[in-house]
Amino acid sequence: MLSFIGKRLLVAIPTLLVIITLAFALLHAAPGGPFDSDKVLVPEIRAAIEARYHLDEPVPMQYLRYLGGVVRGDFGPSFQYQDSSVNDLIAQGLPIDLAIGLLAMGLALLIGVPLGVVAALRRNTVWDRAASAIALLGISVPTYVTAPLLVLLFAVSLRWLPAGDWGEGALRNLVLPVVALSLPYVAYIARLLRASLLDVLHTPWVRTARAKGMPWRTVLLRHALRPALLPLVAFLGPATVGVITGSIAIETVFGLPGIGRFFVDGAFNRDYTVVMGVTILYGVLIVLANLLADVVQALLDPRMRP
Amino acid sequence: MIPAVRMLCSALVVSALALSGCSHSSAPAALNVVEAPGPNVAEGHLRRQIDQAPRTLDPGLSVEVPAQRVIDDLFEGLVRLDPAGQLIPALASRWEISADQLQWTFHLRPDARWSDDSPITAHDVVFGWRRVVDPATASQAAQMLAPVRNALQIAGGKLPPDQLGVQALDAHTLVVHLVAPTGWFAYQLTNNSLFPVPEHVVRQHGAGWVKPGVMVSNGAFVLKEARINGAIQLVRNTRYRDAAAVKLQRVTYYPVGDRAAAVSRYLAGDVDVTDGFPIEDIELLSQQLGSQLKLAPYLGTFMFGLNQTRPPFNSAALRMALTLAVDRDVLTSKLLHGLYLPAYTLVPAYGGYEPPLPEWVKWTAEQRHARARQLYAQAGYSAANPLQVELSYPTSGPDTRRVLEALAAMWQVNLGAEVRLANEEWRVHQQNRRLSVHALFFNAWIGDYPDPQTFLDLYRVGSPQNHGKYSNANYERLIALGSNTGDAQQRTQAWQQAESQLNADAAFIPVYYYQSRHLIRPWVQGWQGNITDRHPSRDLWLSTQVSQ
Repeated sequence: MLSFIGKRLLVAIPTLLVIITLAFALLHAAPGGPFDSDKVLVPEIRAAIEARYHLDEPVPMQYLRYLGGVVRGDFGPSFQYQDSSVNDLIAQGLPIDLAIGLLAMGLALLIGVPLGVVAALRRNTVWDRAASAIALLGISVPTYVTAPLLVLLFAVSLRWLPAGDWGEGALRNLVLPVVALSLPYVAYIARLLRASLLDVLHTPWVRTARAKGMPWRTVLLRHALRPALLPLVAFLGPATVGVITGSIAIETVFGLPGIGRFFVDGAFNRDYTVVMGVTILYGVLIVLANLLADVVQALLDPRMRP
Repeated sequence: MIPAVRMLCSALVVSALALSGCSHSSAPAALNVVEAPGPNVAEGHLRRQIDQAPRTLDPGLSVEVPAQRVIDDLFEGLVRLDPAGQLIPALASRWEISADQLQWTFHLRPDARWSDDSPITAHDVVFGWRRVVDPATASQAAQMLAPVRNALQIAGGKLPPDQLGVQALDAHTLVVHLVAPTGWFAYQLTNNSLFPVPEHVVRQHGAGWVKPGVMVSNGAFVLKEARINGAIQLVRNTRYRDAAAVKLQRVTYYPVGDRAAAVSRYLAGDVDVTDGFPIEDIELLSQQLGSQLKLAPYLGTFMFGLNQTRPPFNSAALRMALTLAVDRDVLTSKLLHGLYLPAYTLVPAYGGYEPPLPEWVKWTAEQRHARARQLYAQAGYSAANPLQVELSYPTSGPDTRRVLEALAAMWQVNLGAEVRLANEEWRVHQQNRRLSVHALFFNAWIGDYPDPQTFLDLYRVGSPQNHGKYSNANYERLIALGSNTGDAQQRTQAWQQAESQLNADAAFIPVYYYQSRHLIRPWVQGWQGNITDRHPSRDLWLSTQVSQ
């Protein structure tokens, strides 16, 4: 298993290099630079600023300089937030995205798994239809619609919770963003689990177990649920990264100081180093999450072990 | 139904109504308006929304409004603006100007201290200014010091920073040497980049000197906590030179970029002041919030630029035809609900300056359109050969798009011109404008200081903002005259004549003057609308005795 993990990590290095190179090339190919603004800089001042950030060097040279920094763990200065380095921004934003994202995923599992199980076990009953309806709603209504609705209801009308702000991670500030972010994942998880559990419930081994008179609860928990979780685990790897990185709409609506906004603002403002830094971070997260999902799958299902 | 569920259901209905009210302002629903002040009011804690996270809290690097809001609370320059926007002494108690107006001598208050109790000296000002123009600092604000001798040469790397025309005669006397008589220089001193910075702290901590816990400042407040894209918390500076006049204990700034989200924060009672609201909500908000909605003229103009070096807009007749065909009153009253004011000139009117209105302002719409069609034909266009041109603008919200569509329709109906809207991503638009790629383009300018020169400089030959390459010898002469004279009346005259020249040449198409717009809770006191839209928290206070 260890050599499997080691091999996968080694393969990740060229993958990341490709990501870095592509992102770097695309960013620098985009027209407009970080210092193009409403108030045009006097050419001499513009030249001085560009020289300060090495933007006057040929692009290949900038690329090598950047790679050198990345190897040393230095993602460079932010052009946009002049008081901070990209490392500072990531150190500030990542814990917030992790907190919101992991809580949302936890909530999604807490609601989605029972919902999926009930739907599968009570197939074609009102329970199943209700669960499917909830799932369909969660998938089809995007977070940029649900989030402002939640704000309008719970913050503006009822005044139960604040309309936004991180509030140093206070629970009352976390509730709305976490709920809004988790809703589509509740839906995905419920639908995925329903489908896979239904498949498993029709397998010969479940039928055999029941025929042998094994209690239904034991059949379900020991023999049906475990294989039924496999597709869910495969989904959870990328989904967890998605929930951590994909909260840009949530960050915007609730005014949260996470990385997603640095990424989007960085792209709009040609803050090359910020976009590169966040791209690399997301790349690493995806590689690690996929690896973790594979390891967990292997633990659950001996056939999948390397 | 249990009470909580009943409450939830009724809130759902109200929310749905409020939502529908937002989109169809003809039937606005009751918004939940906070009537009673929250606990923050008794604590003297003001909560302000700003449009985005400040890019920096370093006065020497700041070039944007959100940063200016916070820095105005943290630092103080030689002079400052009072709540009405008038210049008053601040760190400098008085100043003298030499007979040739090239040398300004400032006398700093000897009792002024940094928040770490060290004295503020003229050396801190010299250090701060040299740092801004030093290429090693890479400050985009460097050109703010352009009136000071050698500033641009230093910023361009041709002279060392110690050659800047500023010197400390002693600890509390500062002498500034200017390139030319600059009547508005005192206003320029209110720009954040010309604030003093604590030399001893900047030297010790480098770029990190602005972090909470490290920053030392001299304004009414000091930095307690700051998070990029998150809340910025300030507390009262007990060592501020005029601490007795400061009534607030704490100020928190919340960066919320989305204006609809900012309004939600306000309606939820999370903030006391917003820096704006969506244009389409104005009717609903003004009905529901009444005097909490504050509009005030702002030193900014929205216009279109025209490239005058090549067809089709090298034709002055065509440029004038397009200008005359715009029905500004319709645009501002119907589409913008009176939020902005019709513009006929480059410089908005403000206390001390009246722009010269072109004669056609008095004409009826029919007269204007008739003259526009005449000029359009004179330029060689007709129904058979219509003007076909792209109007380039940066991608923006529906507010701007609606205005542009209305303008294109006016040109179509009044002239028969076919103007296509072509949007570009913001930075692409900036670059293309800088390289004078566009023929007809979106342009806007917010004045740096309340003096016409901040606008009129835009159309000078060689100005980096002169994207349309306007060039007129008489205009150059008038601007030089206004810049170099020490006589205030003569200057105003020169500015007005220069504006008339711009109007006669139809150098650009003025559309509307901006107004600042805020939502302000009734318990926030001391707020006065002013042309620069600057409202330092030191001039505000909170009162539990609320009067609407």
